[in-house]
Amino acid sequence: MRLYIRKMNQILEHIFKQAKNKERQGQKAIFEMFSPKMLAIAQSYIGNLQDSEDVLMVAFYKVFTAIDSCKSAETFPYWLRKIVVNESISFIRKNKNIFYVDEDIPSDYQEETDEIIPVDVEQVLSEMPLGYKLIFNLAIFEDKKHSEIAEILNISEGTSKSQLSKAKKWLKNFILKQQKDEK
Amino acid sequence: MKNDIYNNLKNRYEERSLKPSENLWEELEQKLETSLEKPKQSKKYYWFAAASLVLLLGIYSVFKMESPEVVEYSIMVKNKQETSEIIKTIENKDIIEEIIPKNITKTISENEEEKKLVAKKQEVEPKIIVEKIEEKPIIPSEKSPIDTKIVKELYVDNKLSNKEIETFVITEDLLFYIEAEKLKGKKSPQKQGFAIDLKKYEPQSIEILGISIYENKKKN
Repeated sequence: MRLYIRKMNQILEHIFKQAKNKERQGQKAIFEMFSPKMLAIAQSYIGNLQDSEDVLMVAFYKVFTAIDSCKSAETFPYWLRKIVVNESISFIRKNKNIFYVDEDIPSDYQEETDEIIPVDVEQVLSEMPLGYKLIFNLAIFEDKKHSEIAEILNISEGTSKSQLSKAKKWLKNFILKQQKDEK
Repeated sequence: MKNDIYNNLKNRYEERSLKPSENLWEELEQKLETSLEKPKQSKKYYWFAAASLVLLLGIYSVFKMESPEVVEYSIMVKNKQETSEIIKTIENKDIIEEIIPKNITKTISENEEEKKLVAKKQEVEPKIIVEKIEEKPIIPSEKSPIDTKIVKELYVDNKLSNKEIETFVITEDLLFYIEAEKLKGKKSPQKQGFAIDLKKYEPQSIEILGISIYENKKKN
């Protein structure tokens, strides 16, 4: 496994250098290596596969034209992912109406203890309301702090916290509903 | 325990992958190629612009070197109407050279012999330097000939610096300029030079402190 990771890193370093030199071969190798994962990330925000591919193309175009600003091959996957997420969010903001009402965290808000329940992530992503999903994805999958989410979505930190709380409640209800349906 | 559900969800999320459509890379490649062509075009445009600018500057400098320099001169004139009258006389009359010795204030005189003698003594190049005119008009009309109150202070100074000389008129340059303007057929009162035909405005007599120092014999 270590050998595999080491070899993968060497390959990444090589194609990253090629892409930095604007070599088409290196760019194509990077695209083939990262596009399936990045398309899944874009799709988790946007939902529609066609729009997600459009966003992915824009993101990769930005990556290849501004690759000089990425310092090393090690940081490249994180840099690429950040660009894909940002492009996905800006696509949603342009094409879909999302309106967050500024509100503070409800006084009765508590992190509830959760049991390990098998969850179908695809179903969750497709069923969760878009407003919740943006904040949930950023907080849970991208490990963003509330201050960062507030900056990305141009909302207050309180709104970010309350929306995440609501998203978690929605997820709990969704899982309970699934369990009831299975029974 | 409380975050296990989210960790579980995250792990599944990270395992997700979707295969993009086959032509996506080709579209991206086309986009990248068009973006690479644009900067080349812009570079060519800048080079062309720079070359044309250099060419224009070269042409301008060549024409500037070939064209004769017009010596700038200044004269204080308070009455604009008189200026235009003077300009009219310049077109038809000859120009008078005035040679005045250094640091001497004189009344206007027609005695050319005296002037020549003074000039020889001072060994000065003939230059009209500065005319300081009092509130009276420079050249009176024929009805009111020049009297002693109209005084011109004319200076000749050999030790003038180069900068000062630039503001003065050399007679030859003045003649050349007038001739050039005649050829052009243009009249620009603001920049046009002029000379004064004093013969037209000959004073009948000049008195200083009640003593008559000059009488116009021709008119009498």
